[in-house]
Amino acid sequence: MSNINRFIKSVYLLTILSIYSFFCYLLFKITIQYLPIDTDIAFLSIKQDYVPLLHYRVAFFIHVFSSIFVLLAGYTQFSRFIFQKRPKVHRKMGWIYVILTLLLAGPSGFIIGIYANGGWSSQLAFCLLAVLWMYFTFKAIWSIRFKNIVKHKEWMIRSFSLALSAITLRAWKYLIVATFHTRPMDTYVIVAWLGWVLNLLIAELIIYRIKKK
Amino acid sequence: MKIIIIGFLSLTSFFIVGCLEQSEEKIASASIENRKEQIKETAIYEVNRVFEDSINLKNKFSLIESLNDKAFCYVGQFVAIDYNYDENIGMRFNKITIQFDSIINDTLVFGHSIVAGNIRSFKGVVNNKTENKFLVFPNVNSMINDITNLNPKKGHRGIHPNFFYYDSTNNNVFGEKGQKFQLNFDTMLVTNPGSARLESSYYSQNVGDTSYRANFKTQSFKILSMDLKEPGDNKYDGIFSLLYTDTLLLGNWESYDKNLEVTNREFKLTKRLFKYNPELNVDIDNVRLYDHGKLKENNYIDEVTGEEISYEDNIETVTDASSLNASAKELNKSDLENLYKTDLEIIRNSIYARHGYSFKNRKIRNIFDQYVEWYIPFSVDVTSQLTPVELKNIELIKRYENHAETYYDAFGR
Repeated sequence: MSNINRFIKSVYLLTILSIYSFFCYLLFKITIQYLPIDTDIAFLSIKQDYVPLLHYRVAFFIHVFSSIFVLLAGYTQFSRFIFQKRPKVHRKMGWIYVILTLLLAGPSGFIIGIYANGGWSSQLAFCLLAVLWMYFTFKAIWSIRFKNIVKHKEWMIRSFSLALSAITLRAWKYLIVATFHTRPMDTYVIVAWLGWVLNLLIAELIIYRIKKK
Repeated sequence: MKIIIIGFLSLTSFFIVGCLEQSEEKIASASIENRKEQIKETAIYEVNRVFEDSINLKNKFSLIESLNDKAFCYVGQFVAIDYNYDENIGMRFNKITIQFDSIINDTLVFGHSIVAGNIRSFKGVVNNKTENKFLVFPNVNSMINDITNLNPKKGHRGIHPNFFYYDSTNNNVFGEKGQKFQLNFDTMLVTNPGSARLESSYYSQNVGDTSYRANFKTQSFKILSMDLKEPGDNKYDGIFSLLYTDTLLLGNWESYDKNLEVTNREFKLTKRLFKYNPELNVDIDNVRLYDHGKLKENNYIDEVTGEEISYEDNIETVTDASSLNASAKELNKSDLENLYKTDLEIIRNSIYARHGYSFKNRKIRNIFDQYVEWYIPFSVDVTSQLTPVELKNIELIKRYENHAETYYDAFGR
């Protein structure tokens, strides 16, 4: 019986891993569009008003190139194997995740959020996302300083759920456009919220269930 | 936990408020989509030539003078006949402009035609044998009554008028309640000058082909006839055989090469004056895209039975294309960022259309040739005539077009 359970579990984990790798690969492809550094391609081709601003350019490229590593580092944190058998790896990767989030991806996300397309609604969505993300990450690192593993885990689940918005936002956009053929900027405003609020709700649900156990 | 719940509630309300702004626009565009005007009725009939004996030579010369007035050109649809219908291409008709450049000794005619991005010269002679012919047309705005429905079993369920108004200047037929019937080409009209008999049919989604017969008044015009030959060094060259009255140029064209897909075309062109006007703008809600449009499900409500009927068509809604004029004012990104690709294409190409550019691109040509009344193909190169505002707008719109093409439905932002 336990063998079957273990099998189901490993299939489940493998599926999750392959879906996650697939999306990371898509994100990687989006990232390398900008290499060598090009300020008139893809997303930037419709951001030409802001491209001349040095701080926008710097923030944008920091965000683009750090995010993919955040996702890779973040995923390892939820592996029970690494956590139990290789605690050093967990700690090192954790530090990478925290530093990338708090010093690079988070603040840069906030800056480009200020200039987001789609008006105040999406600007607020992205800035709030960046602030909450950094706050959760900070809380997580703060609680582990006091060896509060339960709290650390909770805050990290929240933090990573927001990091995942890089994937979910784009996936929602793809789905919404494919089904409803919505206008580009309407879609953008919808996914600016949908992309992370739903993630956070799911994160709270997971935390609630862990607590119940 | 409480704080989190309160946080979520406030986030959700932000989201809803953000969406409200967007939804106003959606309601507006939905009501347009729901218009029941999607039924495209067509009526077809033809004008026959009626010959009369009386002829005044003076008439011939006044017609030559009118023909020689180089300020005007002759514009209308160049309609293919006898060809294999291809659903992906649709009806084969392009807007054509014919212009007369010089007339020597009142008989030798030089000119050129512009159609589908091609400019071709022609020359020919005014045919003296046909100078005593008359053309008969229904009176402009004459009322057509006494309609007999030829298909009583099929008909009577749909919207059909008790009488038509026919306007020969733009080839439109209007129904009793102002319904507009687009004429593809005149097909059948036989009678003596003074009154005429009309047999027309129109197609309606819920009724199918419906035919009508009617009597109405006619009007006759003196005519000139001529054969105009293209040089023959282009694959698509041919010969025009046409009749000319003061305001109309009609006839047919036959290609030299009989192996072409389309070897025969008809046309009925009206006298127009080409002038660049930056204030002109397209006025379209829906366009039917042939080789580019994917089939989409459409719905309309049958007026009589109240049933909702759905059908598939490659109609694309382009409500925004009419609201922006890229020749009249400088556009900015907020004007363009929420638009679909086809709207952007129409807005940008309207600039070229105002300058009389004859489009090579089939998708754009279909739209402007069919849906834009004021559009006159007049030139195959307008780059030197673009204003600074237009050049700026073209660059900006093109940017959004390219972005929409690559990223609109892709995984990404």
